Amino acid sequence: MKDSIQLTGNQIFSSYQVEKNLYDEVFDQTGKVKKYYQKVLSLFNKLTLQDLKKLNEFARASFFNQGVTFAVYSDNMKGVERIFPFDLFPRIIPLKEWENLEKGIIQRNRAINMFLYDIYHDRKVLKDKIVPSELIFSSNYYLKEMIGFTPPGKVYTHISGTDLIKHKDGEYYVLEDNLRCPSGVSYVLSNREAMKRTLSKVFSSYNIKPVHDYPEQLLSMIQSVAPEGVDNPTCVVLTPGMYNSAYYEHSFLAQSMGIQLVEGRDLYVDKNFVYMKTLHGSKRVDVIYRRVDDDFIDPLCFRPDSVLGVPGLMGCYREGNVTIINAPGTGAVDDKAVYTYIPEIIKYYLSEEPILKNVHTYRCELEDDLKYVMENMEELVVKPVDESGGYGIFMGHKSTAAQRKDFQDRIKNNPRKYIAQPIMSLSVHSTFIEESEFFEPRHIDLRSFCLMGKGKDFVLKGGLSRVALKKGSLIVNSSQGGGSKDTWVLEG
Amino acid sequence: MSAYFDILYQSISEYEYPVKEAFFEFIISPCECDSQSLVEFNIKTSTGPDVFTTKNSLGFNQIRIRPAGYFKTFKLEYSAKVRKEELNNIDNLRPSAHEQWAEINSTNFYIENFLYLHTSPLTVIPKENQNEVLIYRRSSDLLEYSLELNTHIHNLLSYEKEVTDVSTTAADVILLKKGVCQDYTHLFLAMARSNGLACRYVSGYLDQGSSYTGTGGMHAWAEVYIPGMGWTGFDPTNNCRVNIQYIKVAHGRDYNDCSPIKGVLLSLGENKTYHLVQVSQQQQ
Amino acid sequence: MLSRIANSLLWMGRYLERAQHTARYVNVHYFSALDAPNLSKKEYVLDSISCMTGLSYEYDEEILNLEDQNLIYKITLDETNPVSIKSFINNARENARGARDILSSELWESINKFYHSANAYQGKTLTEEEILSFTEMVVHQCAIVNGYIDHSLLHNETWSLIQLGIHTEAAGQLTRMLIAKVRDIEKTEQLKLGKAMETYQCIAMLKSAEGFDMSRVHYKSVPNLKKALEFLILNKDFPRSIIFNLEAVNDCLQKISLVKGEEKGSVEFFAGKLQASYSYLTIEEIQDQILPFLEKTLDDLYKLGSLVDQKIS
Repeated sequence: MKDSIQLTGNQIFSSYQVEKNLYDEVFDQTGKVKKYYQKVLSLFNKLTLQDLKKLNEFARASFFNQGVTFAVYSDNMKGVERIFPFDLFPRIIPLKEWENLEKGIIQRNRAINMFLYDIYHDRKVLKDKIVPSELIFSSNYYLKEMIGFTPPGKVYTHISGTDLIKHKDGEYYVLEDNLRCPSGVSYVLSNREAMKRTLSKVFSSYNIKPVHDYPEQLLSMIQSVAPEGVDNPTCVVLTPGMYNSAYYEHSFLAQSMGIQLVEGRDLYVDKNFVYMKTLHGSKRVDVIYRRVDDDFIDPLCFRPDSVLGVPGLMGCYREGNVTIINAPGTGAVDDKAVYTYIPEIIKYYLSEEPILKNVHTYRCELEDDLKYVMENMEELVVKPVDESGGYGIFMGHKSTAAQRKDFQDRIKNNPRKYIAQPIMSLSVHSTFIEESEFFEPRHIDLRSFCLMGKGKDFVLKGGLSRVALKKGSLIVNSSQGGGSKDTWVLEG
Repeated sequence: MSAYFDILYQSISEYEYPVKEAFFEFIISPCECDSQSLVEFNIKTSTGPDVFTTKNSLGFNQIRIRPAGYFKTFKLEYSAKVRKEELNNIDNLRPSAHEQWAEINSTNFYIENFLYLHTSPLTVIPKENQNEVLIYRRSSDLLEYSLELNTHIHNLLSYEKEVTDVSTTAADVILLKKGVCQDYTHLFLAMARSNGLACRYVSGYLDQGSSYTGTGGMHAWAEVYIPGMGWTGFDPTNNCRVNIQYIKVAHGRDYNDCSPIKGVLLSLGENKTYHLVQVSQQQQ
Repeated sequence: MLSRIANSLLWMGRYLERAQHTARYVNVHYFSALDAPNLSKKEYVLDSISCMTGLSYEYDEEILNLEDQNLIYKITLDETNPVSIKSFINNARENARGARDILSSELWESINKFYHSANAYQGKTLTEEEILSFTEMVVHQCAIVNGYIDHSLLHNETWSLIQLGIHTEAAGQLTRMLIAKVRDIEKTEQLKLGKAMETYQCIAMLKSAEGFDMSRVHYKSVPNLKKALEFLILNKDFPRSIIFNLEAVNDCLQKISLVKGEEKGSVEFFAGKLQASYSYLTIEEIQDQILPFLEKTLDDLYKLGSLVDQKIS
């Protein structure tokens, strides 16, 4: 028996292989297109390769001219600008499936907020031994400056980015929780614009949930957590500056919310309030949506060499005179080792069963798990608990003996630093591949965006579907050769 | 019995070129605690009335200044009057050595005091120097052990100025075998923590009328948590227990939590900072 | 508006203007030299270009020994040279990027396209066609960007700051250009090349300021040095003249300032005084002492620039 099925009958899909051991989002196991993809597929089938290349080029040029780019870190101070490759074939999520996801995302993030409040106050969850206290207290992201302090509305993770994948069993799994300034939402909005410009036809024949209300929702969330007694808060987006890889997003968000984009050097602290320096004097700032890491926000509290932050900011924050979004210290929870306890955390605080599944995780600090990991390196993905951006990841199935040995040593030296998970087979989605000029299956994931303010939760309908453009690759990060797709939540 | 102390803290910074923007933070104000109260205080700066205060995350007073306009010299003068009570002798109230260990080794104790149980970068003993650590046995009484450790550190180091600075770690000191009060304290903390004890760094003032070492500037000592007694102060520099002549300002994991002066400035060129501390007991 | 953003807008305007003036000067001088009367030495042309752009022949051995092609490269595309056209474009874009959340997307995209068009020139040596197409592209793209500045922004503080930068720089660039040209003329006079040479230099001068056609319309005759200088310094209707730009600088400052009073020592006071001193000037008063006059003007413009910087930061 063959383990893949070849599609026939249309030009640009003629070499498309539906692989049996993977979950294909567009085609079922017999190679039949799924119902909700039919219209979009028939549109692509009518296009010639030339049409498609033209559309592709058009979309790319529109991103490039708009400056929808990110910088890749290099020795060069300027950084190399790249566009985040964009694929024209949209990912579709039927509304029913989405509604369940949305519920799960909100449930998860509510529990995470209660957990954060607890670990910075009474620490009941630690005393009840649901989560080992050592795990929290040894985290570099657990900040003593946050102990005993309650942010407005008890909200810590105002913006969170839950990363989800669909496994070959057809179920969604949470891969990680991004609770420190998750990025990518600007691509969702830009992708949608690009799709509307390039494939307007198919838009009119589907009933797609809009995404354009995100900036409005974001602003109203930001305003909802302003300090007590401030009626008309001045809100700003704090960026590390234009050499940051996500600068485009920072300026995009500030512009679409109609608020000021500031750098650390634009702000100062006086008498426990934060001010910005303007052409006509100083103006008080009430809420800071910062895209600067905890370590850098206040050189008097954290890294003294930081020039990206504001000296004295944490003092104003603790006095309740300014709100910082997300709250400092949330990183103690998006640690990959804490991730493994999230199902227990949900049960503990909400007395509910978790709606979203967790990937089974082996914690190298536990003796039994460590043993299993050491003996099954080839079947596992090993990740450092405190790195982001896909760096330092070990992929067992592709490793050489020498690499395995090297990683085993690294784990043995610092077991607390590593977790391991079975290799999840991310679902695949038809994606136009420039080199072959055909549609081919590529692995995808989904980053969702959830907002939590005083008395309101909001999940962006859809989110960012990231594609690993390299054949067979499971790494979707933009810095490592990933691309993205527009994501449609479909009614009916 | 109570005593009154007058304290004067002066800091003068001089800059080669005018400073455009600056932000200073001082932790120099005596704290309010069981045996100590602040009767009055006064702050003056050379840059005018730009002073404000806030509490750091451990609850200690921070005096903060953002001078308006350019300056080449910055001067701060802090004066205070403090009332101290003689500590009650409660040494006898502590439980047995076994019960002491059971308490400080419990999960709840760890959760409440992890900050002072974990080593910090300034308070780590390197593996190769473990043999110089005074071992705490679970059968020993914590007060007795702490006194022994105090003497151990005192004898291990010799007091010498200007061989260390604020970035010197316990690991450096154990090799160097000399230093000043903060180095004695860091080494004390490092050894106590490596034995699983909860202890913290204390900064403060020391009566200059006494014959103690380290009265020239601000002083540093350690506090160990002893069940039944609470946080108890030890001064390894002077090989003694803390008494009425010790005026506490702040505590923390190590020097970095208690640094008397911190600043962030926009300026070029060299700068120099001088300190002056005066502590005297009022005659009744 | 944030002080930092105000600064970015100002400098975005200044760099755009610098790129444009330099490109036009290179274009006019390099190509007019090809058919110049009586073998107007090519080295004079290159000398003139390097003088205008601030690369000094006299002090820098390295520049002195550069081949023509390398000198042109240094002035146009060399990103390691902070006064190359390419560096000006990079800086204009970086400043726009820092302020992009308050610019229209049309304006931002036009600057970004400009930047990418310049990046398309990658070679270390440029053919004559490339010099022509590059400099024309720069002038052309600047015109497009200027169009978006005028037609897609509110004419408020943002616009006024960009304009302030543009006009401050335009006055300065024109003055430098005039100094370079007056020196060229003095040098060629020594060669006794006669009237044709003076006319040639005057035309190059006017073309470098896009003023050749309009000066003919205005004077209804072939230009001579006196008329060319009068037109470029004192004609209030010609948008590239020094007096026109000084007036524009004053208008921009009025729009930006909240305080109306013109305090002595303030930038508003200084700019007002400078403009007033030009308003009642005639060409006869300055033509004999033209170089010292232009050098004094350049000094005043430097002072104006640093007062503006002080005001904003």
